[in-house]
Amino acid sequence: MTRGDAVAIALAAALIGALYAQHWQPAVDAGTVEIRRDGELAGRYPLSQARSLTVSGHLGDSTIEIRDGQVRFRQAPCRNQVCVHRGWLRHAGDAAACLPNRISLRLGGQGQGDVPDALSH
Amino acid sequence: MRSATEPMAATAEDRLVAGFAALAIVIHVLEAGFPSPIPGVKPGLANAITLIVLLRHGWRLALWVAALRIVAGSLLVGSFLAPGFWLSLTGAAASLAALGLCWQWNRLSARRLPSLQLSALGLSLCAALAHMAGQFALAYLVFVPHSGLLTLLPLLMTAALVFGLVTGAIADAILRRLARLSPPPQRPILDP
Amino acid sequence: MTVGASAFTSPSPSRLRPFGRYLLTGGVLVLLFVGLALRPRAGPDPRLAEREFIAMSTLMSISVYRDTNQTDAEVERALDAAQAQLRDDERDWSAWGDGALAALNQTLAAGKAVTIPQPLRPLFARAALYGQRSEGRFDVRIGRLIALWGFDDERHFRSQPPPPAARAAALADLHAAPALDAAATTYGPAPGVHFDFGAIAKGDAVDRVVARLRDAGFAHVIVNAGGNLRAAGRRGDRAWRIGIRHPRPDAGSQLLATLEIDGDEAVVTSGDYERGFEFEGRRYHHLIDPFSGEPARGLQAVTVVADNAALADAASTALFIAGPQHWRSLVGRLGLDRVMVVTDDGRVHATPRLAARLRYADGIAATVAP
Repeated sequence: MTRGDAVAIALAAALIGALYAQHWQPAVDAGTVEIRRDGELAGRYPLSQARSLTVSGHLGDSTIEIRDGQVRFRQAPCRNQVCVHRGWLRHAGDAAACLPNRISLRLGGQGQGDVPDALSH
Repeated sequence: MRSATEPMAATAEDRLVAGFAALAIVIHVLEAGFPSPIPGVKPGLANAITLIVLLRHGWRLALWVAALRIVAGSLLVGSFLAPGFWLSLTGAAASLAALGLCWQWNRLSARRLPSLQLSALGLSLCAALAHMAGQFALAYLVFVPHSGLLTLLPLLMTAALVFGLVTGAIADAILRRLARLSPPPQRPILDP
Repeated sequence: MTVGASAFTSPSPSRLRPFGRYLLTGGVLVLLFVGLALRPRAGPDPRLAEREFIAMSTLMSISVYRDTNQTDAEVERALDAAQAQLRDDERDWSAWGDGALAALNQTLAAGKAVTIPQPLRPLFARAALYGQRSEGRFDVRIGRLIALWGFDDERHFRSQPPPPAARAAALADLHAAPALDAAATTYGPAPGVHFDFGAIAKGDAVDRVVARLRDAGFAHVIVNAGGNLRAAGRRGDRAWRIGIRHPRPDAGSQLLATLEIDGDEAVVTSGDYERGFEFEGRRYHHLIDPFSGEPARGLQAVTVVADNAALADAASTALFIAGPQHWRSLVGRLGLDRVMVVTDDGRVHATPRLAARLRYADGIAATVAP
């Protein structure tokens, strides 16, 4: 290993540390799931209510199931079924995607968590 | 130089490319079995082969091996022209670009700061980080423009760092063995 | 020799021990970086000042986010001035009591024509304009009906609807009265008319406080007159976040949605839950329809986002009275583009520009009304 290698490793570590600081979320149970088609919001649903949804994407219909505070891809038209194999998602920040069908899920926090600065009523 | 009627004999160079490409393809296919949080985004272990070819035989052969690996690998996995294929392509392109930059760095620092040059380890690290970043960029910008994806980025880059170092160490070890068995061939004229 | 060859005959051999050491160093660096970045911020923000007080028969709240070169003392002085201004507005625009508008109303009640006092003219003109644009749904001449229903003053609060005969008489008087003209400096005679600016005065007062604070150098404020608010600027490094109350909140959450303020915006909500009574299973609220003489039906709440609070205030009333059938077409006529309504069945509808910006509470799904 050269000094250059060591510098490269240090820089890489620093960069990755910064990425964690920016994007990492602790594992808390999620309250809502956002479903996107091609990046556009197609729906936002609470995880408290059991539901089965069909979302149509580039290849066909994906079935998404919400149950017991969890959500998953139950069925998808893609070949490798990676999205289905991802299984149940439960924590805020968790995400799953079916790339060929361009459908993605993202779990969001419980309630708003941020208190508004003022209330209009 | 060969006439149209004579059967084409494989040159030593062809055999080299074929051999390395075969290895890379095997690794690529095995990797396709790995689970990944973003489907299609892979650690890029086959980059070790690309690096070895680059350091022993130069850019031209390295590019050939990389291209063959991606096309044949994706045909075998069944992801040719599917998102997985484009991800592999972007990853490989990004890692080759990074290798190019590191190469330049090595060149520039050869005289004044020789200790700051990068060995196979550093090269592999940069290539792996670029590979992962390139794949992520494509996935995020084109396939799944979903901010949720960003929470996966630190994890993926950590994996890339680890894999980069591992493949770097492996490539380094292989290169030494190869150097002992047969010294590096005469550098092709097109070596940058 | 070429560079490539020297690259893999590097000075120190790649062994596992130095490798491990460097990995450890890298790991420590990562942890350090993460630790620095995630350092928790301590305590409430010293640059934020908030004051609450009663004025215009409602709870007022003013929040000021000062710049680093402004002192707390300056903020306090500005808030004192704002509070005093609101007290004056309350006197001027009270439909009853001893203020300018009340005096005007007394003159009208005596059967005489009135000259609109100079300071009151701008708001009279705007009220006339909005009255026209809303096809009479926003009507400041409606004071008698409001009093009949007991919504003019807490002391007159009712627990059952007024007798139909009284309602019919007041309605007839109202419809017989001359319309308010935007350019006019006089009005009447019209003994059946009693001006009540309740549906616009608070909004206008808010606008003027925001302007006064801005003149004093405070560009980042929220002025909230009992739910009729205007927010300008930002709260430090993030936007002001405004919550919109759910018309039928449950134990879990009070919010329908939150909105991040972009620049300088007023957010005013009219709802059937604010003032009213229940009688024989039916709810009678304070948003009286000038055509029927009764509380308007069909909607639970209307929220208007606009660039000034007076407009948002008048519009939210007008749209509420317009009801589920007509609100959408009235939005355009009033020159608005950010409106949300909740219909009686609990469904939420919003215009596209507002729908794109609202963050709805859990379980709320809204339809975009194009």
